[in-house]
Amino acid sequence: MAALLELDEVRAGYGQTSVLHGVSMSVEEGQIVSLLGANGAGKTTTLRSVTGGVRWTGDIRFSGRSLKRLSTEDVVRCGIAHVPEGRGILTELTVDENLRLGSHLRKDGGDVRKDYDRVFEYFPVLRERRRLSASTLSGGEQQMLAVARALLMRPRLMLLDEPSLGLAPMVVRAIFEIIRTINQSDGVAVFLVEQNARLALEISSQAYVLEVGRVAVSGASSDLMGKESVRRSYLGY
Amino acid sequence: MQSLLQQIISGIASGGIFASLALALVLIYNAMGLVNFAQGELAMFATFIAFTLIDRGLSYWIALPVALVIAFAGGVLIQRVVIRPVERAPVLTLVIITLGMATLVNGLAGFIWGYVPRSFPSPFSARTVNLLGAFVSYQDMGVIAVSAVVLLLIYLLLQRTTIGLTMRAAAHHPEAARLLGVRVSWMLALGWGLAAAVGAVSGILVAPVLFLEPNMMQAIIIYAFAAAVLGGIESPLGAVVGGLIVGVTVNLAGAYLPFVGGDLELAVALAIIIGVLLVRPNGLFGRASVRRV
Repeated sequence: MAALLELDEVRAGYGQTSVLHGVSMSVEEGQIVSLLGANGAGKTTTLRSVTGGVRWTGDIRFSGRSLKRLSTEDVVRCGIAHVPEGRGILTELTVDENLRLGSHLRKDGGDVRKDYDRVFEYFPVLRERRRLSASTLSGGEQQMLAVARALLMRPRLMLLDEPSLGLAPMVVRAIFEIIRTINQSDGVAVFLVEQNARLALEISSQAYVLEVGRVAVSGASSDLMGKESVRRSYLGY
Repeated sequence: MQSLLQQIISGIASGGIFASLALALVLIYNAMGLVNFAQGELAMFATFIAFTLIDRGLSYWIALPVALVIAFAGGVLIQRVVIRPVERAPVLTLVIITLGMATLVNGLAGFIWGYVPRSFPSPFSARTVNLLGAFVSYQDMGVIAVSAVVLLLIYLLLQRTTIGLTMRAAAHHPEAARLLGVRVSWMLALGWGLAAAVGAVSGILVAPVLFLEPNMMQAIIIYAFAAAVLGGIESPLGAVVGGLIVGVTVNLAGAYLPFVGGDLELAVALAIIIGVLLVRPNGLFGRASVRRV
């Protein structure tokens, strides 16, 4: 079976500095895959390659179609929602306007309304703050807004870049619970970049560990968690 | 008292004209982080197009929308052809390009239509009507009405429609907007088109008063700068409020301060610019640009 997302010997970098030195990975339909590694290993660059935020060579395919030479807008329109580092909240706009930007490409009006209801069920705080400027939200609420907005895009694949960054442990738990729910009830595949390796391995079925731009270890998350040596040397717990 | 009211109303009329051009400046500023120095010249050029259409026998109320559509298309075209290739260039490059465009458009208008001032027809009569004791011309009221309608339409477009929402998203956070599937580059082109059209409104409204010639907008653009700066260069609402304040202030200063008279009105606008930059650099509606690092 062909994977939903396939990276094939991807090399990428910024200007003269190359960050990824030939990375191959795949995410199956409906799967949660985590991407782990130290700071600067190339996790964010991997996600940015997929949505065309950085120049890359090699090949990246999404449900069999090469993403080479597609603009970011077109990649996103294929069905990939990318919640970037820093969450990508438009702070000049209201919470509601941010959400509408998630659904603005969809033509299925009735389903969109249902998705809004569901999103507000997951994150009631967003309903309360609908009319407020997104800049008034706390870090956790902004992360919720970013995930909610990605969900409203009704993607087949979600790229999440460190959803736990800077958040209180309780909030992180809540957000990961919802990521799991989204994955299970909608069958949305998730490619998850995380610093918090333990949390990421618990939620994912497959995992890759990057080390300075190369895949150092990969395999089933439960195997990685179980291997003392992998945990010690790469995951730091 | 009546004459004060009279001065205020005619100030609001010029304010509407300044507000339209100031709004054009703000739209471009939001799209590329830079004032378009050619905005006034583009407005003048569009006014000449309206003039030609009317000259060929079209009615004013047909020529106006046609000229605005042409201005819109011209704005989009300029963004695609001239600005887009240098999108990532340093600010100074873009400044020089817009300055060069101003000179070019000015010269082109002179080449096509000549430098002899022409009278531009107004659909509103110069007769006055007694309003609460003040004598207000139909001309002023017409200008106020047209600019109010145009500004309202732009407001509704930006605030109430999906395309307006994506335009604002593209202007404020291009990277985040792209990740939401917004075609940022086209949205910026739309912003240019909209700016060119709303700027053209100011040219067409002011032409009956000033006479039409290639340098017609060179004073108006200074007032528009003052209005945009006063409103806080990033705020469309600020541009409108700023335009009205500048219009009324300049008119009152010209009427009641003997040393200002008609000659130093432009200096009042410049004084407003300097004053705002000294006292409140973010303007009335601007936000302090604090960046988290």
